[in-house]
Amino acid sequence: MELFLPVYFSYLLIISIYMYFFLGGFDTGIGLLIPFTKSKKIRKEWINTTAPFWDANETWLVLAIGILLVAFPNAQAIIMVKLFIPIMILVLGIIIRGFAYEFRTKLDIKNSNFWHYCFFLGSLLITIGQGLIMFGYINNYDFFGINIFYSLIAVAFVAVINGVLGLLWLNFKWRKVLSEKINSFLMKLHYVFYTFLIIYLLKVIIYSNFKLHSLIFIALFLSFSITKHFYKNILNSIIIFSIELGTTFYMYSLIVYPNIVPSKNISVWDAAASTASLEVIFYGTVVMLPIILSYTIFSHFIFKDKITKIDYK
Amino acid sequence: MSSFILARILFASTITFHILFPTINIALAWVLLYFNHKFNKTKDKVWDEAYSLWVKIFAISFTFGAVSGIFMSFQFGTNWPGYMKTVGNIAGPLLSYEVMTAFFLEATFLGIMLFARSKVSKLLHSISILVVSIGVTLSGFWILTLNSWMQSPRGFIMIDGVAHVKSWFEIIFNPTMPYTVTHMFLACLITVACLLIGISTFQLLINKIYKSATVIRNLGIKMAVILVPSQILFGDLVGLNAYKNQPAKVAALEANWETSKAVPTVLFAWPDEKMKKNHYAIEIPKLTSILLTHDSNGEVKGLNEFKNNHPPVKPVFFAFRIMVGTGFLMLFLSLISYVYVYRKKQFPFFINIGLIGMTFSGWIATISGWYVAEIGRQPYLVYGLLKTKDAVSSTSTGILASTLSTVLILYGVSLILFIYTIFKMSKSAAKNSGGD
Repeated sequence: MELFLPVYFSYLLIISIYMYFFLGGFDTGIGLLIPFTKSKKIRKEWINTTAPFWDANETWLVLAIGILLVAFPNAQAIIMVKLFIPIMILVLGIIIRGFAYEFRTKLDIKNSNFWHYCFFLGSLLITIGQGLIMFGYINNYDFFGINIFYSLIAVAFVAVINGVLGLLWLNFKWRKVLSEKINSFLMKLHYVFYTFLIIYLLKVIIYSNFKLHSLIFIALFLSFSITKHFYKNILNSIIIFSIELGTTFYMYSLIVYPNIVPSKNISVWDAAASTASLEVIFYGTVVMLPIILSYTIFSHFIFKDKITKIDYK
Repeated sequence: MSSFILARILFASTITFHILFPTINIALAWVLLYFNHKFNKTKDKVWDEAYSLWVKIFAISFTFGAVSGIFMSFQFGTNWPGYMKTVGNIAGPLLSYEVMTAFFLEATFLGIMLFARSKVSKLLHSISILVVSIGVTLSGFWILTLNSWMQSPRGFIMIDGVAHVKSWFEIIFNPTMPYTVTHMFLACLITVACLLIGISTFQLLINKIYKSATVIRNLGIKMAVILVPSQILFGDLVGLNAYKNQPAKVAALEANWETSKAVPTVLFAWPDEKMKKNHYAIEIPKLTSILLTHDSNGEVKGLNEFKNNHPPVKPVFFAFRIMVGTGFLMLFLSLISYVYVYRKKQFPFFINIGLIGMTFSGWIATISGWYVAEIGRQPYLVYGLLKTKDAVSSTSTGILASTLSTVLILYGVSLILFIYTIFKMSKSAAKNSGGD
């Protein structure tokens, strides 16, 4: 158990972060797309499609932070202090967007898009925070000099991921069929995602403790990328993109693993909490996570139709 | 200002903002379940109207609580890394169980509760309200358990400066836990009772014949008339327990400088930390000795016993008086209003104004109560185990100050908008109903 538990929790950590990026990306992506339409009605409808889910989506972030704090107390003390500014940007975005979610309907200002712009601003801050955190973590928390350029690329990469997810979600949940023009934009955005990914994979291969078995993941990933299914069926597209994103995150974790504080070579075993406490949480996750996943699926099943109007009736 | 003070203000302002919303939600979820049950049973549209308004208030409050809660969990790491480093083995499992058993549950079923009323059966909708209620209560339970452990830590051993678990039973059922949990859950119910009364009274001023508002106001008054006296009596037990486990806190809230016999209760004074005495004190002789030792001549420990290890006196002293004062004001108003309800008489104008003025009084009492508990625990973060200054990170003051000023503006503006929105929604609900 002593050797196994830190490994288990490091997997759980990257899975929670991935779940947050994937599910939360639908909401954040829609936020980023707000300026792409001028119509207040359409903006409202777009945000409505995420209303039943966004809070649960963000809970994956709370779980991720929880695991970092709880399972790796000696790592959080370094990582989170160093990433103070990006974290504050992310949290500020989450708070502003949360307020916008409520006030856009309950304190609506006629002929004004004020709350929709707050929603956009919140999503933008979240994207910037996400990009800087992901970049800073593997780059010694250094954002200055040439790293300004690299961190902007990281932010752009995250923005593209969120944008693709937002457009996929609109295809999935919005009442209207998206126009050819928008869907060809989605296709282009997906190519941009690939370009970013290939550069990023090269970096991973060159600089990290790259292991042979990760080749299987790359092979799997490439086989998906050549499928023509991507734009045929929306559910297929979402599943395929989720796998692509999963591969991205798996590769990301390989850059540092088995370290959890890459800058100081602190391994997951060095940073872990006591085995007795980890065991208590371990059994909790074994029982609770399947339950959480099943009611998450249940909730998506209830809202399986397209969502346009949202009210409490 | 030092980064230690700034980090404390940042955390204090965030938790002050945050606690407002769970305080409402923990009780309002069950109240909504009651409205829903009443409507399904009686088919009286009064209950449906009440549900429609209050579920919106619940939704805003839930969102505010969720996003400010995320910020809090981040601050554990960004500002107080020493906390998890020292007591992570105990706090960690409690917090992770909160996320796994409560946060996902409430967040997921909230979607169904709010937006799937027309999509699912009545039973499933009621179940979703029940599940949300259980979720908010459970998350309250876990976090209060952790907080009460910080007030009276038990069931652990220290190895190389890190706390390790000896007994989960002793940790969860630490001596403060039953008091904290009961005191807080009562506070939640009272906060919602005041909210129900205040908002409904406001609606009745706009539309005198709005039946739903009358029903809800009377329900709130009945709640208050039972709960407020219970809370005042229970508060005495909370004080006794604090005296047993944290005598320094009680000495500070009583502004009792020297250990002595036949200690009076200070109703009002201006405590002076330099001179170690009270100015302009108004006292009731022997009452503190009677309350704490059940003996009019009993000896009560004073601040002199704790040298430099006692909390700052003024904030604890005044917060305690604000809490108790608000409690007695609630008691007074709820008793008077109950007489009017009982006799089925119109409420006089000045009582209506008083009740509307008290709409958010639960917040004031709850926050000042938490200030007593949290400032009263200083200079410790975990009582007797970890000092607050030993847990803080060394973030630059410039970054902290700019973060702090940004969030203070954000909290202030959004709080005003929150209160405004609630009154605005209640107004339009009252206007749009013809009354029958």
